[in-house]
Amino acid sequence: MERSPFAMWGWLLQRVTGVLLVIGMFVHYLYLHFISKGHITFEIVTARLNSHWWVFFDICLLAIIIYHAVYGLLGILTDCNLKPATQKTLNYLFGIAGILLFFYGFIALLTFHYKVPVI
Amino acid sequence: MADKQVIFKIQRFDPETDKKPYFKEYSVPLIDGMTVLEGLSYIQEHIDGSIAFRSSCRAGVCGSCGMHINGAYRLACETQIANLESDVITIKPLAHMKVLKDLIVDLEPFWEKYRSVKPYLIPGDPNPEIERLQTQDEREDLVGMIDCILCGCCQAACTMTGTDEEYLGPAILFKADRFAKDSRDHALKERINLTGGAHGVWRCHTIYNCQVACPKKLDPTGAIADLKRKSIDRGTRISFWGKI
Amino acid sequence: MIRKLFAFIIEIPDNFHLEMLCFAGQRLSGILLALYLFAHIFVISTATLWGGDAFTAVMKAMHHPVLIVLEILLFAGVVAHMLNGIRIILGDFFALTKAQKSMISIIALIGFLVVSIGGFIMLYNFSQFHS
Repeated sequence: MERSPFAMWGWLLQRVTGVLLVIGMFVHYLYLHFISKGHITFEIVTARLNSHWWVFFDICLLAIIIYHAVYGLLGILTDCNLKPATQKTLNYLFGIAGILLFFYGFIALLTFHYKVPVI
Repeated sequence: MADKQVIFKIQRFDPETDKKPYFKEYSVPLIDGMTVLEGLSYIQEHIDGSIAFRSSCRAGVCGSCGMHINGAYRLACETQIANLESDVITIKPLAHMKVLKDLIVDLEPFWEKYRSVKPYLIPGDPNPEIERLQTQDEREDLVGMIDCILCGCCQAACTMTGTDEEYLGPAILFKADRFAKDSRDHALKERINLTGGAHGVWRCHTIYNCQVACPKKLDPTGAIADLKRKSIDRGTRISFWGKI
Repeated sequence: MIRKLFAFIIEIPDNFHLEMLCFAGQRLSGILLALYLFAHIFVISTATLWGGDAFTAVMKAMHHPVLIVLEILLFAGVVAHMLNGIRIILGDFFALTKAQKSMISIIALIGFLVVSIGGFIMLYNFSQFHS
C-alpha cells in the first residue's frame, strides 16, 4: 500500500473543521437561539448581517460545515471499499456538489447583506 | 459432580453440504472450573465428532481459539463457563472472515495483510558485535506492545474490517506500530508508507471495538492513533516543505 | 452494499457495548445533521428565491409548538455529535485512548447538562414570544 496524502488531508481536515465547528456552533446557537427572542423576520436578519463581521463569520461557518458534512457522507461511502473508478467518480461528485452548495448558501447570505436578491 | 448441564449453542456450517450457517445445541455436563474450550472438546469427544474448531495451547498464549462467545470476542481457553453466568453459551466464529467449517475461519487474508506491513525489525545498519542495546525508557515504549498473540478478536470486532475488506485492521496496525515504536528499528518512513494509505490508518474511526474486544487487554486503538500521529507528522511536512 | 452501509447498526448486537453505541450514534446523527443542513440552507435561501416577505412568512410558520420540540431534539443531536467528536479527537491526538471509558461518562454528564439547560432556554423563549 502507498501512503495517501489525499486520505490523510481529508481525515485531518475533518478533525480540524470539527474543532472549528464546536466554536462556530457555540456562537451560532448562543446568538441565534438563546439571546435572540421571538420569531425571526427578514428585517432582523438583515440588521445582523449588515455587520461585515457577521457576514465573515457566517461564510466561514458555511464553508466549514459544508466540508464537514460532505466529507462525512463521502467517508461513509468510502468505508464500503468501492471500485477505484466508482470511488474517484464519487470524490469528484461530492466535491462539486459541496462547492455548488457553498455558492448557493453564499448567494443566500448576500441577499441579507444587500437586502435584495443578488441574482 | 456432573449434575448441572450447560447448553452449547454453536454455529455450524459445512460448505460441502450447507447453504447457510445454522445453530445446533449440545448439552454438556458442567465440571467445576470448566472453560469453554473444554466444553467444546467434550462435545467433540463425546457427542458430535464432526464439530470443527481451532485450539492449541489451552493457556491463552497461542491465539488459536478466538471466537464470539455470548456477545463478545474471547479466547475459549481463558473463558470460564461459570464467569459467563448463563446456562446457554452461544458460540460463533470470528466475524468478517470466510468460514471454512463451523468455527474455523480462513485466516489467509489476515496473514497476507500481516506480511504486507513487514512485521519484523529492520535495523538499517550492520549487525553490531553484541546485542542491540535499549535504554530503560526505550524499552518502556514497548510495554503492552509486544504481548499481542494475533488471535484476531480485534480484527473481527472492528466494524471497518467488515465494510472494507482491504482495510489492514487493528491487529495488523498494532503490529506495525509495535515496530514503529521500537528504538532499534530504522524503517519508520517505510512503515508510514505501508500503513498510511486509504485502506490503512485513515479507515479507522476510533470506534474502540478493538480495545474492548482484546482478550489481552491491549490497546490497538491507541496504537493506530500513534501511527496516525506519526503519519500526520511526516505527511504534513512533505506537503508543506516537499521531500524530507 | 446495503449491508455494508448499515454495518454500523447491524453489528451492534455482536459488539454490544457503549463504545459501539457511541459510534452508531455518531454516524446516525451525522447523516441526519447533514440532511438537516441541506434543508436549513434551502429554507434560508427562500429570501433569494421569493423575496424577504416569503422568508418572514416561512420563519413565522416555523414558530410552531411541534417544531420547537424537533428543534430541541436537533440541539441534542448537535451536542451529542459534538461531544463524541471531541472524545474521538482527544483519543487520537492526545494519546488518551486508555481514558476513553471515563471520557464517555464525562461527555454524557456534560451533554445532559447542556441539553437540559439549552432546551429549557429554548422552551422559555418560545413560550414568552409565542403569539
